[in-house]
Amino acid sequence: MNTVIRAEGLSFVYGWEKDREHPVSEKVLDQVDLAIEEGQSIVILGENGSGKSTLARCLNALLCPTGGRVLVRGMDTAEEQNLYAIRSTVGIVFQNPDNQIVSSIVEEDVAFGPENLGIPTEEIRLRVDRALKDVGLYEMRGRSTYQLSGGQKQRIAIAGVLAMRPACMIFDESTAMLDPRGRKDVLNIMEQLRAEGMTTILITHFMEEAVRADRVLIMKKGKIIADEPPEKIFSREELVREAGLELPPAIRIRNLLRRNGVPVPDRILGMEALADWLCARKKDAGGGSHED
Amino acid sequence: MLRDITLGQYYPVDSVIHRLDPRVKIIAVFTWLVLIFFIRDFTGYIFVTAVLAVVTAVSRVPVRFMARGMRPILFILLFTFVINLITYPGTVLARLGPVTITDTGLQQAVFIAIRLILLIFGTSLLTYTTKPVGLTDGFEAILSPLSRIGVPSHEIAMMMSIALRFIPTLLSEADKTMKAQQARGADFESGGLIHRARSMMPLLIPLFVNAFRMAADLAMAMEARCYHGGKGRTRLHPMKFAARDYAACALLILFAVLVIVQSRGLLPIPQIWKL
Repeated sequence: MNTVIRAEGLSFVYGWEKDREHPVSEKVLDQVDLAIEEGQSIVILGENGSGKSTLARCLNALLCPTGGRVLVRGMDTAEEQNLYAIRSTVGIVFQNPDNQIVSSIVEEDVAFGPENLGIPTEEIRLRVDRALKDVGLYEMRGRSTYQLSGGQKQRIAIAGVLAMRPACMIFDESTAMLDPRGRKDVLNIMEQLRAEGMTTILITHFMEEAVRADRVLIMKKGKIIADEPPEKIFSREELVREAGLELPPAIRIRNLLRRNGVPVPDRILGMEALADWLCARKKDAGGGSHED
Repeated sequence: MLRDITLGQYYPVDSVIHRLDPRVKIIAVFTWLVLIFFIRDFTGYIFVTAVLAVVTAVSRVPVRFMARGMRPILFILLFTFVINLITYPGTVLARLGPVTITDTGLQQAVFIAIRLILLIFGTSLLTYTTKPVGLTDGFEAILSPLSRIGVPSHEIAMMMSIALRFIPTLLSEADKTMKAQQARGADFESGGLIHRARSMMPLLIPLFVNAFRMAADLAMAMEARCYHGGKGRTRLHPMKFAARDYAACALLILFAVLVIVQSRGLLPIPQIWKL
């Protein structure tokens, strides 16, 4: 597999460039090592201030590491001439849908990235149409951006990144300010991108969004304290609690059942799967008995 | 209440005027503004008003819609009319105590009023028929020769378009803040002018703080999408001169020549009520 992003001993301190002896903050990122392979879907969890957003900004050269280095497809993020190649390889969708839309017309906004990259007009047209179809807003292309709902705005922002044809997309709490409907739409698009082979990094503090990931990273005080598949992470309740997070309800029920002697397997992560498994088990046990 | 303010007065219909290159329209409006001041007699005004009427009809923007846009300047119009009416020396037409209306005063007042109306109608036709994006692109293109002497034309245009983009966002933000303050007992409606101005402070400060945060977020988002100024930038909708744009330019030149020649009295038609 190809490594898209590699971080080696990545550290970051705010205010470092002004005064190296007395930086403004403590280490926001502390010796982070990370390798992200092509096509992986990664979820980064952590409470506020754990450094997850700073990590995201280091991965696409919005911030330059103050220690260690980040390589995107072998390009060092600290080198000026790599900047635009890196940012078009690793796209980022931010949290606030209102504050990342540049233009007042939907298609103009989606075209913003490709325009900056100096792509020929006909090609921009193709990319914009493709990206808008991917997020299901092609019919809205001529509309004014401020009339859209939060979820729609966020989908426009996704289209804007897609139009740069990135290999990897970072969602920095992109669902946090949306209503349940908008959140579901955005998560569905993410799922679809993943199915098409896009590397996705989702930063969130909704643990249930981690269920379908390949890898779950938990961050605390600028360090990655866990990097495992979701089913493993969810079995380590103390670790999750220590990171200031809360397990999704289905997992909590599962873990409680386990503690009381019901051997629910690791692969059961959602409420429906849990219910199905319990029903199947009850049937196997011979129907009529009332053991639970 | 803040939602009532209509902005970006674009009137979305399809017409030749709407489809004209924004650069042509911007230059036409500036030419119009200058030409209006050349005219010194009534014949000239009849001529340009007729031209404006034709252009308006072609643009398919309803006159009633445009007239509504005149309402805010009605006061200024009336004010200048009255001031001009009573301050000019000349043959006295009417007298009311110390106030006299003279023939020159009347003529000046009428002309100034006509001029103002024509200026506003002409410029608003530009904003009614051109999308804000077109306007900013047009300004950028017109200013771009100046970038060689250090005028940041791309940056100015980008600032304009971002400002336009954020007006509705800031308005809804202001609305939200206002409601939040009112829910906690703030009073924005009663009291005198000074009291009301002062009560706006708790509204303005959060709004400013918010605006700065938005600006920081937006700058970050723009950088993430590889923004690095106007250099090497391509466009989704590049501006191209079509046949109609050349035709419009030709008509504009013809119009300008006619107005200037007429205002000099070089045409074989009488100049009615010459100043």
